[in-house]
Amino acid sequence: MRAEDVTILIGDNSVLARKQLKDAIVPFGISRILDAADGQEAVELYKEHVPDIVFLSLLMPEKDGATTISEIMEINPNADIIVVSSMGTQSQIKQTFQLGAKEFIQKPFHSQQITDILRSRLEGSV
Amino acid sequence: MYAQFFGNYLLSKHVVTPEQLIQAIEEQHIRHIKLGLLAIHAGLMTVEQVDKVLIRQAHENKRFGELAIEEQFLTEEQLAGLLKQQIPVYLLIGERLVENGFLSETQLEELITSYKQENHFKHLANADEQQENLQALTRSLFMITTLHIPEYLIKYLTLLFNNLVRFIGDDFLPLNPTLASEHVANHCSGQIINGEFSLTAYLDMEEDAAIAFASRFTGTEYKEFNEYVDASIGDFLNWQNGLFNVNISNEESVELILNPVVNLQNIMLSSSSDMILLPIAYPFGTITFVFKL
Repeated sequence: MRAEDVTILIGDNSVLARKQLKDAIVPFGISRILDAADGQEAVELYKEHVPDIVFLSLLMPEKDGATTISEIMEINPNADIIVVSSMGTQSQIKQTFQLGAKEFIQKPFHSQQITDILRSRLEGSV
Repeated sequence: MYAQFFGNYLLSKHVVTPEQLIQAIEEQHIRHIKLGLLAIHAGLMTVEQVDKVLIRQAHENKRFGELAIEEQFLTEEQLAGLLKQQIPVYLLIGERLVENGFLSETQLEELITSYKQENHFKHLANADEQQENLQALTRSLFMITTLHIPEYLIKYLTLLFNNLVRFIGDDFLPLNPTLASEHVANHCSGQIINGEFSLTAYLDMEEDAAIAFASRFTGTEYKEFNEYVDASIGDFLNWQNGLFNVNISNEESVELILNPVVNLQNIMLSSSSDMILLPIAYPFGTITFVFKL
């Protein structure tokens, strides 16, 4: 995947968390970044744009993270969903993987974690 | 460690009022602390030696450190170490209280000594013991209230104090918690935790404090209140609650459910049963945690 062709969707109800994720993404030269402040908006944006990578919080109003993941997976069973959430108990992590998420990052995250994920995607090594 | 609780200790001994303490916290960066006091607390000089240097200093136009070296109370290296060491918050606060005339120098010395003894500061060998000590200090905060404080709240607060150190800074002092059925909130975020027990936590602060809080939290210097400042309050609360959730799950196999953070502004928080208000004073202002059990 080439950075200039990549579209990323960020779903998080915190405008600050969305900004911090964007700050970690922009240096890769990725400019198509969509953001959603709740689960419903995330599903609608996913359906419309079918982004390559989705960063998703589990704690969102309107539609919770688990439902959001399920609905995105229905749209595209190969969706690349990375959960970035404050909820990180073993059972919550297990559930997100069962629903189809590819990675789990516990908040507070380090930008390096995001960088590592993007590097692996852009080089196509995953 | 946990010098943050020294302020609350002073309150519990009724030697200062909350207003005097808050003033001292806000002023702690104004003036440099006296080198003599630092030398005593580093165990490098005795009270008598400091007095001797101070008496000489009254007659000679020399610096404290210079005279202490002349007297062979300190070596050059020790002086350099003292000058660049990070000054414990209780000394900064204590010194301000002395400067403001609320405590005498001797009283401060005695209070620091008794605080250290009562809290067994010297015997904290490892991290586990330090956390136990912090839990005990947290429990002692609530001795003034009649409310029964459940053990999970003590754990919650112990983690909270660690997270304040980690994400905002260690220059805070918890003030006395109070019980109230209402609280008028300014810039506030709230989050409900439920499951085996339920806890609603709010974090509230005034605009200026919020700007400074967010600047520390994000490492970005904010000059005015904006959406990122607003979100910082909720994000801190969300991190705290998420980490609490993980800890409780790991330690006690209790699975709790977090709800999305809600941002609230200029709202009256109320409850049919008492809420616990815990103000935490930082130099930039006081932030208040409100808990509904």
